[in-house]
Amino acid sequence: MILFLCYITTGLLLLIRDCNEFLSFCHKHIFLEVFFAMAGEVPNLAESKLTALVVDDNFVNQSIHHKLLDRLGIKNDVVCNGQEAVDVHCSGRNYDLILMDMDMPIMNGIQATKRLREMGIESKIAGVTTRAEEEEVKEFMEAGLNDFQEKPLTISKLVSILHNLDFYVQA
Amino acid sequence: MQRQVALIKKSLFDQGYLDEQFMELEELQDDANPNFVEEVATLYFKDSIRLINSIDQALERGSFDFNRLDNYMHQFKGSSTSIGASKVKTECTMFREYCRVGNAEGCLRIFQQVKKEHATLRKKLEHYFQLARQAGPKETARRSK
Repeated sequence: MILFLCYITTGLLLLIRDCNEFLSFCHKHIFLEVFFAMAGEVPNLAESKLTALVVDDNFVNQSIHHKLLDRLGIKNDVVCNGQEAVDVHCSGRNYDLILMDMDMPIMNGIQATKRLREMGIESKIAGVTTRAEEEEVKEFMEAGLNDFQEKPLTISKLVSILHNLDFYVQA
Repeated sequence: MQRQVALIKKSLFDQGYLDEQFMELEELQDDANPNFVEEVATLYFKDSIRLINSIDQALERGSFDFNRLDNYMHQFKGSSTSIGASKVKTECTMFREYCRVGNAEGCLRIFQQVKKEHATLRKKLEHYFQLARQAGPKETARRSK
């Protein structure tokens, strides 16, 4: 497995050296960071200056998701339900990534996602929930999600979200 | 002391009290948050005790609102899953099954198991964290291979 990864790494580095167009398209930094994360190392995305919002009513999950994002160098805020997520955007704040729980009091994740999209919020929204029935996931995705992960969230799942959502390093 | 801590942690996994998710949390510990897992566990037990009390009160009233009970247990199971509390999570799943089919007797019986597993885990983790603090940060900040 390690030899295979080394082979792939070497091949990719050669490709990147020779293909400037491919390099600029793939935004080398974030690509390699994610690649090394998949190889078992934790990327540090602090240079990318990404920001995130954790939307979850459960204090345990709030703490874990906040720490996961911190570990990746992503500055983040935490709110307790969908209504607070909407309110924070109404106050003028904006985030690159929103981690949205589904089941929350006052305003759930589906309602909040729909509302944010209606408001014109174009942030990437990743649904993070324990509910994994096909119909439930479909309804959540159709509300306006860009990605979905089943809880519990881990470093590798979070890196997968970042990879799926094509986050690039800001200049 | 460090060896003792490692053995206790291994037994928690071998006996099925904890699963892989607990190790994921340990990976998040660093110099800035050397007691992160203990802090999260403390949050978990504070929150889960609140939920246990809510379910107890609902069951004592005798009115089996299965939707409400299921909502409480959904939250409880979610938290348990997030910290890797494997046995507690299993009992929560069974409780929700009884709620789904409207089996009051089953709910009452399984809830006793939920509370038992929860209390056992709490005792074992408190002991583990106490020893881990005495041993120093190295043992809790490294993932078991």
